[in-house]
Amino acid sequence: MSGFHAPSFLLAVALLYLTLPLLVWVLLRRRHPQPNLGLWCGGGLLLAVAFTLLGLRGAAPGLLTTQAAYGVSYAGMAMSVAALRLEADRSPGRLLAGFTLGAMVVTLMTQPLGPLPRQPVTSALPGLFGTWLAWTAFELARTRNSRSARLMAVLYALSAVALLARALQTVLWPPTQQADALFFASLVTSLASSISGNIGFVGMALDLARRREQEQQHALQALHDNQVAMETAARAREVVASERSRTTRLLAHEVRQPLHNAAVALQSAMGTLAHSRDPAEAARAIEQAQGVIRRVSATLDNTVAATALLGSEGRLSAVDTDLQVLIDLCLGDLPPESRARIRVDYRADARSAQLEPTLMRLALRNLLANATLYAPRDTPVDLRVLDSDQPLALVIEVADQGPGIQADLRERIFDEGVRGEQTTVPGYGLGLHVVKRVARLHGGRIDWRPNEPHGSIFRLTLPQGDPG
Amino acid sequence: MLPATLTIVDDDADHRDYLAEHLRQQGIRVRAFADSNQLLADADPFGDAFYIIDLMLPGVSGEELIRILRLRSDAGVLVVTGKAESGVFENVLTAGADMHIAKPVSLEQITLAIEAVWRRIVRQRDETQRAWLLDADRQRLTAPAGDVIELGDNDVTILSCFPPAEGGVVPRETLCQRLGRPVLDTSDNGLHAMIYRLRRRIEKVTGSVVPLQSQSRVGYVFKAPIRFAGPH
Repeated sequence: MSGFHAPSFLLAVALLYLTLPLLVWVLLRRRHPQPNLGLWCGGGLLLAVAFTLLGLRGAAPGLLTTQAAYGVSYAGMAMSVAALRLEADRSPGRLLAGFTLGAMVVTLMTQPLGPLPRQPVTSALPGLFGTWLAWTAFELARTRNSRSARLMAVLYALSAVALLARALQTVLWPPTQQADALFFASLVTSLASSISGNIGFVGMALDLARRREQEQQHALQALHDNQVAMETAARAREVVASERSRTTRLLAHEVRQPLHNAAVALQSAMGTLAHSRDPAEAARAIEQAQGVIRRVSATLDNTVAATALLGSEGRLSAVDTDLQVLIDLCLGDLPPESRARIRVDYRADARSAQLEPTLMRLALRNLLANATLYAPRDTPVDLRVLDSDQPLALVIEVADQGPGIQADLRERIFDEGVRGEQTTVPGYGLGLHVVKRVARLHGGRIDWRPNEPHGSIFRLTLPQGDPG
Repeated sequence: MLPATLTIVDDDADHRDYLAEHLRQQGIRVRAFADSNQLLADADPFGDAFYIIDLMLPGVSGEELIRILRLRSDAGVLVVTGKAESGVFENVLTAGADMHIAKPVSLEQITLAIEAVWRRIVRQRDETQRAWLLDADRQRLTAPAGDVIELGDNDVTILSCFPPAEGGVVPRETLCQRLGRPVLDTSDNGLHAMIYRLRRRIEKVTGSVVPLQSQSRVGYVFKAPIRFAGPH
């Protein structure tokens, strides 16, 4: 290695060692946690100082150059290890501090003993630091799954091997004054490891920054999702609250007042019974009270169904239902004068079907009650029970000879709160809406079509399994 | 046609008294209890021909009472209740009730329901001597009253499962396997449709509800004697 001027080379290396940490500092300042960055760059600068001191070897006493250089380089490498440990969220550790102090003391103590113990020691100790750096970088690569850290680990390991090999060489073969190949190799690998170390550190920092950004995005997304969920829940609560307030209004308007009227009617019937000998008069009063109570019951049933049964999501519990009994029950729900107007036309072969009988009774009663209320009192209402094969279903039709439904109402007739023209008919616009919801719960539908020559036909289609 | 004796279990005193009075006027001997414990503590809790039960009872619940009753008696059981929750029907029928009607109901409506249930029970008792006859070879089902129903291939396959079951439940899986259908976890609409068509075919001829009943999520049961015709 003639012509190779070690001090100049060392000073050049020192310059590079000075540049790299400064570059890293400039790049990562404000983008990376300060303690890690500070330790890392500080370590790099100390190494630059160490190489400068080594380059000045011979120009000043050994204690001030060589010994100081080793001490400073140990401290620098220790700081690099500490920075990497901080990266891995681990404390720098007392072991590291102890090891560094020990290395300094050993180097100082071997100084007066001549080149043989001194040279192996001053190569082996940086080798051990290199091993430590490689190991820490390797662990970091594993936990962070970082390619930069892996590259760093490999090059630190190589430089450590070179330094340890050189230590071994100085033991086996007495050292010469000439800079030898291994010295050169160890210098080059340490230089390469330093460059790759700094690049790796920047890479890791950028990895981390990217991960943080992703985490922040995830957190933002979660926050957004959470907000959406809360808004949905709030809307659901609003619906429940409005349903509740509607129920309360309904109870107040449609139940309390009519009940009071019924009580009055009964009272008057009792009065009539006490003072008059005309039972027909009393019967009329009682019938009037009964009518009111029937209407209150129907309103209550629709309200309870709308809030409780229809509101419950999920499977409908349909059972085999005797259709004749169902129809009889529905007819029994109507006042006698309405009942007398219903003509049952049972054309279906089926005598039973899978239905939810409570809801179906309610739906059918609503259709029949509407038909009898909106059509003139002297007209019949037809209740037809039919089979359907396409789709396989039971069909119930209620046909009246009333005024029918105005064109502008037809689209909305099954919506909640929509009422027919005749304001003399009491109600809250809930009946047909309940019918629609009951039909849907059965997987079926309710349709309206005009009757001939006038009036309405409501057709309830209740599928009974899939024809396929 | 009404039963001769009847028991009412209802904690609503007004309803209980009015109903009892109404039924007594029809000539029925009526016993009334305010809760199921009272009934069970009675000397003869299971002796009546018919029971009207409310579900929301103090003491043993209505559903539980129906189960106990069913262990000891084949009396008619009608549930009259104001319990408004989805699934009430299913639970009550699974427990063994014959019918369920929701309050409010008039006394006439209750009488009507009693009649419907009682008619079915009496007919079934009459028919116990004469079972439904399934002739698989000629693809015919003969009702106890003598009506003959012509059957399709699938109908025969379905009905053939019931004589060996001897009144027990035939699981949906069994029916699906026999029919060569995939066994589905979810409700099998195809099977439902087949059974509905079969029921409709039988009901068209007999004019009354066929005793082939679905058992929620489990399978189907033929609630009347049914056997194979001829050597099988």
